[in-house]
Amino acid sequence: MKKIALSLLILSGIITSCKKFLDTKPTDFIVPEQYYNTEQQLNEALAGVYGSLTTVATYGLQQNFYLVGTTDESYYKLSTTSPHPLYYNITPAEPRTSNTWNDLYKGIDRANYLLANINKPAMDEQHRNAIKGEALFLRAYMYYLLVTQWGDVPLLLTPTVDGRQVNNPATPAKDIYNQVYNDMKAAKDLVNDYTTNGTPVHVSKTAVEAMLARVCLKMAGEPLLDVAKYTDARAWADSVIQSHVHSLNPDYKQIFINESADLFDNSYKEVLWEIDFYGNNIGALQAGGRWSIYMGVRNTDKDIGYSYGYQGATGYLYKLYAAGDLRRDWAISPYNFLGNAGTTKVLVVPTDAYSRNEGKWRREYETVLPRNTEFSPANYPIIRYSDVLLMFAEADNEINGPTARSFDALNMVRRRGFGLSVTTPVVSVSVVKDITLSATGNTGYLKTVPTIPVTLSGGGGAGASATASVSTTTGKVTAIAISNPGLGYTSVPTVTVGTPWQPNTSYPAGTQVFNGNNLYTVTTTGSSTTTAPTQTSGTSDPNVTGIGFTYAGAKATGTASIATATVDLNGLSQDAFRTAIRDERARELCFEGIRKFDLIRWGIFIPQMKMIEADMNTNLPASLKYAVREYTNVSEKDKLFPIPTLELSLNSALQQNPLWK
Amino acid sequence: MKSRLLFILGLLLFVCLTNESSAQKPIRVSGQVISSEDQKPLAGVSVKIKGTSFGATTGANGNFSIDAPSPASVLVFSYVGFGEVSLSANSKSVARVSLSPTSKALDQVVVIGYGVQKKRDLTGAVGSVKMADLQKAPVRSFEEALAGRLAGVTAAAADGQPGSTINIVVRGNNSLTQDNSPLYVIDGFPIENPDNNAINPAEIESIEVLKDASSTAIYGARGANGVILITTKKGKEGKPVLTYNGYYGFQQNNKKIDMMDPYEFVKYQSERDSANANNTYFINGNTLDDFRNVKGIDLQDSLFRTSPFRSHFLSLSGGSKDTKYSVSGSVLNQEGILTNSGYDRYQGRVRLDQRVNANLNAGINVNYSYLHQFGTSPALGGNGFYYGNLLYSVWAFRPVSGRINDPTDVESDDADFLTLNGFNPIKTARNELREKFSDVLISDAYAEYSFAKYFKLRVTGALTKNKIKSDAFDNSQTPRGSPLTKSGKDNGVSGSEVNSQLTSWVNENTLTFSKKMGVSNQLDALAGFTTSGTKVSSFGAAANHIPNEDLGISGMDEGQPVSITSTSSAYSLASFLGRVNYSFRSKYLFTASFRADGSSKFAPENRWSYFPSGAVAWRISDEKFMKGLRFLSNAKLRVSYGSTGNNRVSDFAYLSRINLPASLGYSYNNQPMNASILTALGNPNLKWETTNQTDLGLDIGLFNQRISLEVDAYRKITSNLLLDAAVPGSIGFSTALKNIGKVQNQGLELTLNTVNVKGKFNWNTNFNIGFNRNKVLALSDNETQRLTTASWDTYTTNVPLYIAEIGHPIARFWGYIWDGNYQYADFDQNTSGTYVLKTAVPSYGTRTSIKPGDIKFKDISGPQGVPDGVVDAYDRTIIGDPNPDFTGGFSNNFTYKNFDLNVFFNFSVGNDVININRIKFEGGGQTNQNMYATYINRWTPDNQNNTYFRTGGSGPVDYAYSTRVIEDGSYLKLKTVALGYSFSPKIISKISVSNLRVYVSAQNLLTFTKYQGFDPEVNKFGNDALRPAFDFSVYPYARTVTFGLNASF
Repeated sequence: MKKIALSLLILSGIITSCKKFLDTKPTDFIVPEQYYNTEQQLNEALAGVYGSLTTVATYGLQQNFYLVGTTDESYYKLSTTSPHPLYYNITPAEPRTSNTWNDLYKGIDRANYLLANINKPAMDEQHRNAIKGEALFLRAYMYYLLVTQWGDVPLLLTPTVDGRQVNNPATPAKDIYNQVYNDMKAAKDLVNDYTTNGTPVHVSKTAVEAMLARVCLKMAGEPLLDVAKYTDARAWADSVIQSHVHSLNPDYKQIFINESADLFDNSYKEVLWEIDFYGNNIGALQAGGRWSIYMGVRNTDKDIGYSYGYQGATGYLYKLYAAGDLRRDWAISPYNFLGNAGTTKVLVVPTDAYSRNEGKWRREYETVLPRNTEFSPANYPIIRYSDVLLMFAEADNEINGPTARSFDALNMVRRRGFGLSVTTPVVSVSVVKDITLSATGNTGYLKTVPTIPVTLSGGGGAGASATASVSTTTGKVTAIAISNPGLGYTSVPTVTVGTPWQPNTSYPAGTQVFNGNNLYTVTTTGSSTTTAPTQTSGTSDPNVTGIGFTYAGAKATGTASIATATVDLNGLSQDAFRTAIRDERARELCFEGIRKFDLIRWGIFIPQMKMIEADMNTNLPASLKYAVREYTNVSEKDKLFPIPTLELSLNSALQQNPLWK
Repeated sequence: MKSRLLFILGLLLFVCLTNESSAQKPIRVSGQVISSEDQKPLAGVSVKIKGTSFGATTGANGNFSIDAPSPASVLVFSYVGFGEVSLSANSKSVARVSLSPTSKALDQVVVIGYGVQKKRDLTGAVGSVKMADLQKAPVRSFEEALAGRLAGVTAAAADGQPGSTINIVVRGNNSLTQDNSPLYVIDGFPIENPDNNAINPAEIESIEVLKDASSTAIYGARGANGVILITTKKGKEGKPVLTYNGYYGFQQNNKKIDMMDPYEFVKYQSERDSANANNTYFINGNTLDDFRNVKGIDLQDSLFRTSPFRSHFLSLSGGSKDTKYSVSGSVLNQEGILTNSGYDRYQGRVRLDQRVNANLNAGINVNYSYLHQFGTSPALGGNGFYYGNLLYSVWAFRPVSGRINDPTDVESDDADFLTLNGFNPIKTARNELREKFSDVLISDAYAEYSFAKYFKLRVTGALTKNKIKSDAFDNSQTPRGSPLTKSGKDNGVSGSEVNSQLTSWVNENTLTFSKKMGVSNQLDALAGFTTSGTKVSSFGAAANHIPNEDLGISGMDEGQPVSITSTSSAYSLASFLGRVNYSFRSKYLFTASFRADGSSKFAPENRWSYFPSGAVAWRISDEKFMKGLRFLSNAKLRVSYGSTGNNRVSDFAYLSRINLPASLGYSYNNQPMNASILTALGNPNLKWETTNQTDLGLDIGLFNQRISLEVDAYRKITSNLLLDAAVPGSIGFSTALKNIGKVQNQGLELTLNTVNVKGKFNWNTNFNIGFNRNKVLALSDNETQRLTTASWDTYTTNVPLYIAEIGHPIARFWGYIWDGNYQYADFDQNTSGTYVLKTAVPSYGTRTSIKPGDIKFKDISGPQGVPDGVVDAYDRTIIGDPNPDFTGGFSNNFTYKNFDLNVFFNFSVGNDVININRIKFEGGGQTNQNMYATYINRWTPDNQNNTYFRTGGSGPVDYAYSTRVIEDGSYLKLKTVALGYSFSPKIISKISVSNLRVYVSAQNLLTFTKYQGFDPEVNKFGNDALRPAFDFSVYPYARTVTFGLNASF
C-alpha cells in the first residue's frame, strides 16, 4: 500500500513538473490578450489600422490606380494581354481585386481588435476618444470602399478569434452604408479638430464631415438613389465650409508639390485627409508608395525619378480645360523625357491629345534622396477642400437648383484654376491659347540643345511665356508649348523662336542666333560687331561680323492664337449646373481616384466610357490603338468587382454578385 | 599458456569437487570443424560443454580439443552465421563436425526504436540499408545515395547543387502544407531535420528505416512520416586498427542543352522583330548568310567546369573486453561543377564504450562537423522575374552579336545582358557571395545498469548544437549590386549576415525486462520516460549602399543599415513509452507499443496525445506442417496496425500573434511610428496530426535464403491534417492553421535479395520496388480543390499550376491541353488575303489576332460545362501527374578473385515533370534572347507541323502551362558503379598492412530518360508537397568519378 502511494506520489510529481516543463512562453511576439494595455500600445495599434491603407493593394498602388485608373479621364498605357482591372477583362479569380478585398478586411479586423480593447488601458479620456474615433472612422471608410466596389459584402464588427467561423453572409449594401454613416457620425464627435492635429494625417472632425458628405452623395446616387441624403450631404459639406478652417491654396500645383516634397500646407489646409507615405524604402522601414511611380511620366533615370508612365490622360480630359486653365498642364504632363531617361523634357505636340501622362505628382520635387525606383515618399490626398466646395454645390443644386452659394462654391474652384484670386469674381480671361508651328523653315537646330526659348510680344496682354523643343535626331523644332498663358491679350502676340542676333554682344562658341529667317551657329567664342551675318551658306567673315557665324538653316516660326475663357459661371439651369459640376470635378480632381465612383453614382459610367471608346477610335495615335479595348471591354457588370473566387470557395454563405455569375 | 592450462585444470577440479554426478570419468575430445558448404575448416568456432561455462575455440585448421566432464556431456558447436550443432562427447561425428551456414539474414540484428531485434523476430516493417553498397557511392552525405536503396523510401534532390535539399519521403506524403520529412534517430537520439551533411557516411554502421505504425509508434507524435535510425560505428574488441580511406576524383556536368547557332539565332531574331534585327545584327553590311559557320558563344561552356572532389578519412579503433574506442576524422572538399560553388566538410568523432563492472556499462559519443557551403543557387533568386535566374541568363545570351568575328565580341558585354533585363551570369556566379558555415555538434552519453537478473535500466542524455552563419554579399559586379540594374540603383552594394543557433537536448530513461519463461515463451518489455527540449534563435543584420566593397561582409558597418533579424523560440516534449514483445516458440510473435507525448506546441488542453500500436507475426515456416517444404527456409506473415502523429508546426502556432515589424509603420507628419498588427490567427484547438496505418507483410526465404523476398502492403490515413488552411479574406486573415483534411497513402513494396552465382565468381542482387498511391480525402472547410501557383515569373504569378483535389493525389499539374498549332485549314482567307479563323475553330485571347502557326489549345468546356468555342479558364484541366507509378532500385555485387564490382541502378516510372525552361526557350521569352536548338523546327509556311508554334505564336503568357511542356520524367539511372581490387593478405602483410583495396567509383554515370531537361529528378521548390517536379534554371547534376584507396593497419 505504501509502495503504491509512493509511486502515485512520484507519478503525480512527474506529471506536475511535466505541466510546467511543457508550459513554454513565446519570446518573439505578443499575444493579443497581453496587449492593448497602454496608450502607447493603442497608438501602435492605430498606426496598424492606418497602415492598412498604405499597402500595395490599397493606396500604395491599387486603390488609387489599378482599380480606378481607366475612366473618361485616364487610361492604362501598358499593352500586355493578361487580365487587369484596368482592361475590364478580369475574372472573379483576379488577384488584384482580391488583394484589395483582403487588405481592407485585414484593416477592418485590426480596427475591430483595437475597438474591442479600447477601454483596457487607464489613460486620458480625450486621447482615448481620439483613438477610438479614428479607428471607428477608418473601419467605416474601409467598409465604404468595400461596399462601393463590391456591393453586398460581409459586415464584421468584432475581432476574429476563430479560424473556423468562415461562413459569413453578405449584409445588404443599404445596411452597410447606414453602418458607415452612423460610425462616421459617431467618430466625428470623438476625433480631434484639424487645428489640434495640425496636419491632415490624423483624421479630424472636418475630415470626417467632408467624408460624410461624400458618403451621403454616394447614397443619394446609384445604386441606392436615396435622394434624401442630398440634404445631409449639403449639411456636412456646409459644416466644413462654415468651420472656416480650410481654404483653397491659391497655387493649384503647390498642393501636389507639397505632397511630393513631404510638406504640409499650414496656411490654407486645403487637404483635409491624406495618406502619408514615408521615405525611400532604403532602411528597414518600407513605407513608401508606388502609385506616383506607376502613373507618372516614364523615365528610367533614377536620379530625377524612375517612373513607368502607365497612366495616360484621355484627350477628352485634356480638352475639358479651357485655355488659360493652369490646372491642365500640371495635372496632365505637357512633356515626356527624352529617350525616357534623364532630365531633358520633350514637349508633346499640342494637337496630340492622347499621348500625355498624369503629371500631378512629379518625382523631381521629392526631397527624400536617393530616389528609389519602386517607392516614393509622396503623400496621397483622399479629400480636399475643393472637393468639399464642389460637393456642397452639387448637393445644393440637387435640392434647390443652382443658388448663389452653389455658384460661388463652384466659381471659387474655377478661379483658382485660372490662377486668379479665389474671392474676386471674374467674368473671363483673355489668354494665349496655343502656338502653331509653321511648316516652313525650321532646319539646322543643334541636336544637342533640346529646349530653346520662345518670346511672345505685343497682343495687349502680359505674362505669357512658352518654350520650344528641338528634336535630337532631326534638328527641328518639334513643338512649342505655352508655359504661362498670360492675361489680357486682345490680339495675337508675336512669336519669336530662339535668340535674335544682337550687335556687340559676346557669344560663346556653339550659340545659335537668328537674323531674319536665317539661323547661325557661332564658331568661336567672341563678340559680334554691328554687322549682322546675312549669308545663306558657309561661314561669315570674322573680320566683318566679329566672329564666324556659320549658316545652319532656316529659323522656325510659330503663330499664336488667343482665346477668351469664361471663368465665373452664372445663370445655368439645374441640368447645366449639374454638368458643369461633373466637368469641374474632372478638371479639379482628376487622378485622385474619385472619378470612377463619381461616374457610377451619377449613373453615367457606361455611356461616358463608350463615348471615350468612340473618341479614341478616331483620335488615338496608332501606337496607342490597343488601349481602345479597355473601353470596348467595359460593361454594366464592371460597376462592381466580382466577389473573389477564393472568398466564395471558402465562405459558403456568400453569393457572387449577380452580374458576375 | 601455462597459466591458462592451470586455470582450466583448476576449474575442472572445482567442477569435480562440486558436481555430485561427476562419478564418471572426464574424457578428452578432439576433432575438426568444417563448413558443410565448401568442406573447408572453420576457425574460431566456439565449442562449449552444455550446462557449463567450459569451452574452447577451434584453431586455424579448424581443430579443437576439449576435456569433457563425462562421455555423456553434450558439446555445443556454434559459429556466427552457421547453425548450432550439439553432439555427445562420445559421438563419432565429433571427429569431423560439419556446420551448415544458416540463413544469415535472419539472424542479422536490426536496430529498432529503443532497442535491437533479430530480423527473425521482427513484427513490423523495417528496412535496412545495405551499408556496404551505399558506402561505395562517392557522395558527401548518405542522403545522396539513398534513392532506390529501400522499397517505399524516396530520396529526391531538389537539384544538383552541392548541399541542396534531399527530400526523403517514406511511403508518400501525408501532409499538404507541413513538413513530410521523417524523424531521424541518430545513435538513439531523435532529431527533427538534422543536417545530414554533418555525418560522414563512412562512419555509419547501419541505417534502418521504420515504415509501419508498429515500429514507428514508439516515436509517437513524431513518427508519422517514418523514422530513419542511424547507428554510427563503435570500436570492436581486438587489436587497434588504423584505417585510411581516401579518394580523389572529378565532377563533370552530365548534360548541356543544345542552343541555336549564330545562323539560326539571327534567322529567328529577324523573324521575331525584324526592325530590331536590322539594327542589331544586320549592321556593317551583314546578311543572314554571313552568320553561317560563325562560331557562336555558348555560356554553358564558361559556367560549367570539371571540378575536383576529394576526401580523406582516418580512423583508429579497437578495444578490450571492457573498453572499446573509436576515434576518427575526415576532410572532404567538393567543388561544384558550376563555377565558384562547392561544399567542404571537416569532421571528427570520438566514441568510447566502457564496461564499468559486470552490471554497469557506460559510453560517450561526440561528433563535430564544420560545414561550408558556398555558391550562388541558379534556382533561387530572380525575385519572381524569370530573367533573374542564373541559368536563364546563360541560355538566353546571344551566340553572336552584329560584330561578326570581331575579337571584341566577348561574352562580358554587360549591355547585351541588360537588353534581356538580366545580368552577365558568369560575373554573377563569380561575384555573388552566398556562403553558409555550420558548426554541428552531436554528443550523447549513456549508462546501462543490469539488475535483478532480468532488468536493465538505461539512462541517456544527448545534446545537439547547430550554429549556422549565412552570409550574402552583392558587390558591384552582381545583379543586385551593379549600378546598371534597377536593384543596384536602389540598393548599391549590399550584404547580410544571419547567425542562427539551435540547441536541442534529450534525456531518455528506459527500463527493460527480458525473460525467457520455459522453453517456449520469451517476454521482452520496455518502459520509459523521456524529456527533450529545443531552443532556436537567430540574429542578423543587413546593409546596403556599402561604400567599400572590397571589405566584403566586414564592410557592412560602413553601409546603410537595412534590417536586423532577431528571433527566438523554444519547444519541449515529454513522453512516456512502453512496449511488450512476446514470442511463443519464436513462431508466434506479438508486439504492442504505446507512447504518450506531451508537447508544448499545443494549448494546455490539447497537449497530450496517445499513440498505440500492435503487431502480430507468424513464422509459418516453423510450423510442423511446413517442414516438408525443404526449399522454404523462411516464411513469415506480419500484420500491424497503429497510430502515429505529426507535430510539425511552429512552436506557438496555437496563439494569435501581434508583431511590430520594423518594415511596417505609419508616418504622422513625417515621423514614422511603429505599427502593431495581427500577423497570425491562433487556434487554441490545434492538436496532433494523426496517421493510422495498417501493414500486411510477408517474408519468404527460399533455398536456404539464397532467395529472399519481402512484400509489404500498407494503407495509411492521415487525418486532422495540420493544414495551413486557406480562410476567406473577409475574416481578416488569409490562412489559419487548422486540423482539417485527410490524406491517404496506400501501396505495395517488394524487396528481393538473391544470390545468383556462388563460388569463385559471386553475384548477388538486391532489387526493390515500391508502388505508392496518394489521395486527398478531405480539404479545408468548403474546399474541394486547392490550386497552387508557382513563383518564377511575374506574368504567371497568379496562374495556378498545381491542383490538390479530393479523391486525387496531393499535387497534379493543372493547365491547358496543347493541341499543336493552328494550320491553314483552320482559316478562311478573305479577299484582302488575311487569314480569318473559321467560326467553328476555337480561339483564345483576341480571336482576330490568331494566325496560322500559332499555338492551339483544346476547348473542352465553358461556363455551361460544354465547349463554347473559347479557350479560357474553363478549359484548364489536369495536364500531368508528378507522382510516379513506381520507384525502386537494383543493386548488383560481383566478386571474382580479388576483384569486387558494385553496379547500382535506380528508377522512377510514370512521373511527369514540367519543363518550364521550354516556355521561355522554345519561342517564348524576349527579343534578342537565344532559343533551344529544338525550336529550329518551328512552324513556318514551308514547315507546317504541330510540334513548335511559329515565331511569335506562343499565345497569351497565362496560357503557358499546357501539356506542351509537361514531359514524362520516368528514368532509369546507372547511379553507382564501383570496381575494387583487394590485395591478397600474403603480399601486403609484408608491409604490415592488413587490408588494402584500391578502387574506382562513379556516381550518376548514365541516365536513361526521355526527359529533355538536365535531369528529371528535379524540383525547384524542394520538399514542398504541393509543388513537386518543377524544372526551371536548376543546378545540373554532376557525374562523379573517383579513384580511391582503403587501407587498414
